[in-house]
Amino acid sequence: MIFAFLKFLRGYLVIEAEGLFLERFINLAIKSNIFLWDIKKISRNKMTLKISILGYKKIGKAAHATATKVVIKERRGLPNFMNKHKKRKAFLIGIILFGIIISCLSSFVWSVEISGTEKIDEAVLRDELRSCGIDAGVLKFNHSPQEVKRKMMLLNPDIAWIWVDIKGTRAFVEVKERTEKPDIVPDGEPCNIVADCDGIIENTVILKGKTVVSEGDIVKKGDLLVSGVDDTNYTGPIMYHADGEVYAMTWHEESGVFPLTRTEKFKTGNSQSRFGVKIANWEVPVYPFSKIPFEQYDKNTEEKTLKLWGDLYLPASWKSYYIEEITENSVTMNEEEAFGFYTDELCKKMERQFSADVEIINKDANYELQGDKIYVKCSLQCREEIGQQAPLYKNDMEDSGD
Amino acid sequence: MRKKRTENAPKALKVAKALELPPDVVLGIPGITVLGGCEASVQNYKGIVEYDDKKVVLNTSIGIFEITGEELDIKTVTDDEVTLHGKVTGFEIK
Repeated sequence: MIFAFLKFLRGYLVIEAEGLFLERFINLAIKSNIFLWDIKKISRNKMTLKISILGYKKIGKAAHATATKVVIKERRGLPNFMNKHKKRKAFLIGIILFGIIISCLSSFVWSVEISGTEKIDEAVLRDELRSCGIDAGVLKFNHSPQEVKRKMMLLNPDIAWIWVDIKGTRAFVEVKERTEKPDIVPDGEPCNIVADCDGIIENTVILKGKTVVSEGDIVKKGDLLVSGVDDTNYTGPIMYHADGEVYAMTWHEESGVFPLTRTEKFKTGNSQSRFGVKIANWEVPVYPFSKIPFEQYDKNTEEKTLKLWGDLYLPASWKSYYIEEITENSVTMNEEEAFGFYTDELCKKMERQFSADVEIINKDANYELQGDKIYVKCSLQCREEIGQQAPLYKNDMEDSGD
Repeated sequence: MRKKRTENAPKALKVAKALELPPDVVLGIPGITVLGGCEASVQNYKGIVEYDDKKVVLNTSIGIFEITGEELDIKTVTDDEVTLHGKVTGFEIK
């Protein structure tokens, strides 16, 4: 395929060779590095073959040595095509114009695609990018990603990292958002460690400070766990930056009233594929033209932006939908089923709120029927780190000292 | 006079095989590949002796290769390989 294209590009000739020693002619041609192909014998002393234009210029020697008469039958390929249409000015202008338009249009950014945003509003980001020179309709050459990165970081403090990649006619903007830094008392500043939530102390790992609680103590939220103040008899109170981890047994509770019947969605198995073409903001159905035959359905949409070779994206996209019919069934559960179902839901809801270091030790749940509703209470026994540094101000110290 | 390389072909072939070298490359001995009876290619040939649409005779280092068939044409021909298209019905080494 690629060879055929190269042959076409460089041009070749179909020639007819006539002579008594055609085999010898071929051998000689090959020995002088002339590439021949598609050799066909027509009669005893006549054959047609294909030869490159360069090869034809060198073939004279071989032809002379074997007394072969060579006649050009046909010229093929791009050079010949160009020669033929030399005089058609409008055609030539058209080709050149086409090239210019394509190269002009493909030197603009046609769309900006942003990925990686979670908290940052895309519209805001787009405005900020516009002020940095990245927008649909902007020339794609005169900007450097480093420059954009620097400007954007200054403009939007929520951005931790940003990169602009221009591929073809699309600009891909990748953003990493900054995670908010936790409230940490600066090192060296005196502080206490207080309880984050209620619980029973399990064990403490104290790096600095005076432990106030011991294993088995019941603490409430805000209670002092590790003190940053050490009152010595000789030198008066000394203040530390208390540091360490306090693990405790904690209980988390969640409850709710739920109906005994719930609606469940079922797929009926009926489905349909639909296709459409989206040009700018207009969508045209391709197949089928009819309305969606289902009353309730789930829709899966896939969008593919059409592009020409490489990365030249067109402002059109091919949309395919997969539609599945669904029915809603109301399911009545007995109390046992409902209890199990809602306990799971409550547990999952709680677990979602936990940080990663929370270890669940025990689950406990109970329920109560209230007419056609069920009251479910679920509690989780956990082991977690409850210590939280709380700054200790000098003013407080002086007050308590008095 | 220097001995012809190919006179010792069976021995050399053994050596090449023992060393796990591709014999056609090392020894320059010809090989023929027939693809589905409609394409045949000969590697390491020396020259074309006779060619028409029923019969192609090639000179090689181990003798004469004769390929018979119908409507044979030479698809490509280079320094060391000939590829034939057409219905291949048989071949013979003389």
